[in-house]
Amino acid sequence: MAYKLEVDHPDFPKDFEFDLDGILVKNKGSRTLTEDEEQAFLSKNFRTVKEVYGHSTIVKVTGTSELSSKEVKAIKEGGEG
Amino acid sequence: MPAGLGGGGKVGIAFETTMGTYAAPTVFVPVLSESLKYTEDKYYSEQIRQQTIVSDVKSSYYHVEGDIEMEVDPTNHPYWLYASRHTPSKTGAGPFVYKFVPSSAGSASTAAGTTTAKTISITVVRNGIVFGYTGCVVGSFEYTIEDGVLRCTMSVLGLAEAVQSAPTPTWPAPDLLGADAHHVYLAASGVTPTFGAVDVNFNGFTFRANHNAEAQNRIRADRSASYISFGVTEAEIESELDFLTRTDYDNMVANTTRAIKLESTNGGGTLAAATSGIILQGNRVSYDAYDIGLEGMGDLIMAGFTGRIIGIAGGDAYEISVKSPAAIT
Repeated sequence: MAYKLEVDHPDFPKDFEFDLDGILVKNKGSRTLTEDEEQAFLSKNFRTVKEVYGHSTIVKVTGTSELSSKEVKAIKEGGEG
Repeated sequence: MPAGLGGGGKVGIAFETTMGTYAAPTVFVPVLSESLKYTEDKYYSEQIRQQTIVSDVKSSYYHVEGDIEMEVDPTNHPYWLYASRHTPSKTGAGPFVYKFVPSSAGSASTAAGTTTAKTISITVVRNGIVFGYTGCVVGSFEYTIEDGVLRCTMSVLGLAEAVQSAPTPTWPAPDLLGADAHHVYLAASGVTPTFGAVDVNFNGFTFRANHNAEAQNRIRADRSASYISFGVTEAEIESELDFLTRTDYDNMVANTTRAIKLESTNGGGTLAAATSGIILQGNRVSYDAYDIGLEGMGDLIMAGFTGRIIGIAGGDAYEISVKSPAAIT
């Protein structure tokens, strides 16, 4: 199952839109990432969605990567140069 | 790590439950620049010991200070004003109207609720490296219209700095106040001035207030500041406008005070009708200077003024109202 991002910001109304590094998610709503979106996020941050938002108190990440661990590693290593 | 660019940075803020205790950011603020810094006067020992160079150094008291420049965005703006020396209030059912009027608090404090000022933790990430500034308050601020957009500079003082874990930003869509948002009004001074038609002759508008905040260090086994004190409030409005009548020049000469308001709104002409916006209003403004000259053959004849905001019996010297989707509790 692909990564799913849920935003629950207590200070903002339902459907107030947040930008999570290029991924738009409405408050109190969720967004399931496509493989392309996940790849674009990883290419930009060199960290997975789970690694970036996994410990956030506002963003909840569920699901798993659509990319293989080999693909994730290759993209991450591309950022180390 | 490779060199970083400013654009890759981020600034997040959060209200503190306990003044000076770090709170991880919950609101991320798109700033234009920031200069928060650790500020310390180190002690250099001038012992006389057959040398003409200082012979030792000891750490001394420190605090945090610097400016944060940003476009005024009603989404995050109330948070900054809650961290300044004002008495806040909140009305509405969303979007909410936050009103801030001057208070006489002698020092910064923090408490829950919508009617109390708060200290904030400011987290700044520079080239991936995290700085957590705690016990921060806005000691002075300046609003100005630049390139048609309302901007502000918040001058911040804080108690301490320490490394923190990297925050995970959630960025709201920008809600800036551009050239089509601004309305300037003039009226007779009063507790609730009666503003008439929009004055269309203003060329710029600057509203500033300085609460003369200072970091106070007290003797204890901690080098960070003990608290932030406040002093006299100095507030003023500065602008220039096409010189068309003697009215306000005569008001300056006669020491007749005025009320001046900038109302910047999105989605409606007034704050009440708008979806978001801000009002910067001096209720009793004394013209310190009202200068008019023939500056050159090809120059427009403008009046430049600085108006000092002063107290008014039974009311508030000035008020700042922000209409925002943020629900501060």
